[in-house]
Amino acid sequence: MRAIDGFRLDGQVAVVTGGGGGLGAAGALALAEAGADIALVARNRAKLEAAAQAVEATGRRALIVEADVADEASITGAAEAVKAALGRIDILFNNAGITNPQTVLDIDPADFRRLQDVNVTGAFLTIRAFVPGMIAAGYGRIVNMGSILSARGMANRAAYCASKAGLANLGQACAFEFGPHGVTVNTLAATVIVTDLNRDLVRTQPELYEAITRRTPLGRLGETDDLMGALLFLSSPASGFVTGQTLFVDGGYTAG
Amino acid sequence: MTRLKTLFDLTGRTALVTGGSRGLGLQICEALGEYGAHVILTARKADELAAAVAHLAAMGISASSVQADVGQPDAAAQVMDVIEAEGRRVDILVNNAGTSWGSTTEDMPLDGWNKLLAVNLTAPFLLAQQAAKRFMIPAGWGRILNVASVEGLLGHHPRMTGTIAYNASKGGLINFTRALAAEWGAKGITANALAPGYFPSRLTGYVLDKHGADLTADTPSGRLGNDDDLKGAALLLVTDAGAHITGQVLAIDGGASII
Repeated sequence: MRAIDGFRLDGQVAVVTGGGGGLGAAGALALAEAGADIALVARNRAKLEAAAQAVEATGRRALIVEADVADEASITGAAEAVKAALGRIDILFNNAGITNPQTVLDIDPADFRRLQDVNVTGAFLTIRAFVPGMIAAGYGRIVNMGSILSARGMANRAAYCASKAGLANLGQACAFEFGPHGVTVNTLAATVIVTDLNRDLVRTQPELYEAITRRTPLGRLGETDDLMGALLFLSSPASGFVTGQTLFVDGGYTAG
Repeated sequence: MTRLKTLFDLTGRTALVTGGSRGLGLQICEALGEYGAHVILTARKADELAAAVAHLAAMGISASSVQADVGQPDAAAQVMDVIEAEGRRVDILVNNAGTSWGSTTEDMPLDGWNKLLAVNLTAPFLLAQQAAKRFMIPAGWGRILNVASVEGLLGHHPRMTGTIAYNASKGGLINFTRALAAEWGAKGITANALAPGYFPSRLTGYVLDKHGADLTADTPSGRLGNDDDLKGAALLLVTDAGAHITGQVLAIDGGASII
């Protein structure tokens, strides 16, 4: 294989879960630019329309599937819908996730459980729904969306910390089980990403984020574009011998 | 399309790859060269350098070489002198040259330990220092990629002959990478490490003859590394695609180190 071809995704189908925050849309667009057709999966179709149009503008197909990753019947149905419409599944970007900014003492246990339901069990159910097609084909790339909090603690983020560490190690277990079938499983672990949801806050209240930026060798938070190279790598043939890994795109936060 | 091209494009960049004439180093040269970089190879043997440069040229890659033994304390400065005299520069430093030494720890000779550390750990330090001072810090841009090993993440397999100096050197190289990243981030320089698993090569031939089947059986991907496996990761970490990645160590081992 020529190195120059290693990142191409021509003829492949990628599934991207999660509609909010902009990362799912940016990831879908990057994967489409590399040649993949895209299935966008989220609870609310309206949030996906713009992302689907951006994918189609690259000349690739876009399919919107309304589904709840935390609901087994719903996500299993989504997998069937993708197979029926696009014919195959090569890449799964498990991006759906929620957060909760409460302390250990303040958070309602029901909210803690709900967060694990979406971030960990949702990824588990999504993998279970989509991986049989990959195993049957003998090829697949699963990228789970992680965080610096996959490996570090932070105040007011206990539920999220637990979920992202759990998701990263779920990925290692999956890497073992699926490795013999040509399916790799890795975690893309981001620092705080500036999106449309928090851009104003980052600008007007930088002190909220100072604890992160002052410990970051590259001195800034992340942008969605910062993640696209690593996402393309982990989603493509170029990462064929990389599995069970957590790749931090964090400006060096976890190195310092 | 455009994004792939620009994210991984190295047109106009120059990469210095130590130990670039064969094995993992040559594989990295191929990848960086295909994406537009001029690659400068170092190695100890002139004939192997010439063969590698010819091999790269046949692929349409712009390549040149500097003969050097990076285990010598003056080598880093001398290599950079030659590069400057030729009117070239170093934007990307790939510290790939490495050596191994199989011995039980109780029998490991001190001179062998020192020789190994000189190549595997001291040379990356001196080369990074020289490249950063002369080229990267003035430019406000640089990429350092250290080729470590899964043997720098874990101890040696208990059934295999020990490689204490190798494990120590590669573990040191990994934390050297993090320290560099923390120190030079503000200067626009990233530093990352690859941790390859077992790839068939002259360095690993003996071990793989004896233990290859066991190692493969213990690897989730069920195989050893091949002539392409490092290419994507190397490209990610030395291009704009890796602009916000620094201080990281990425294992390329088919999952062997997550056991």
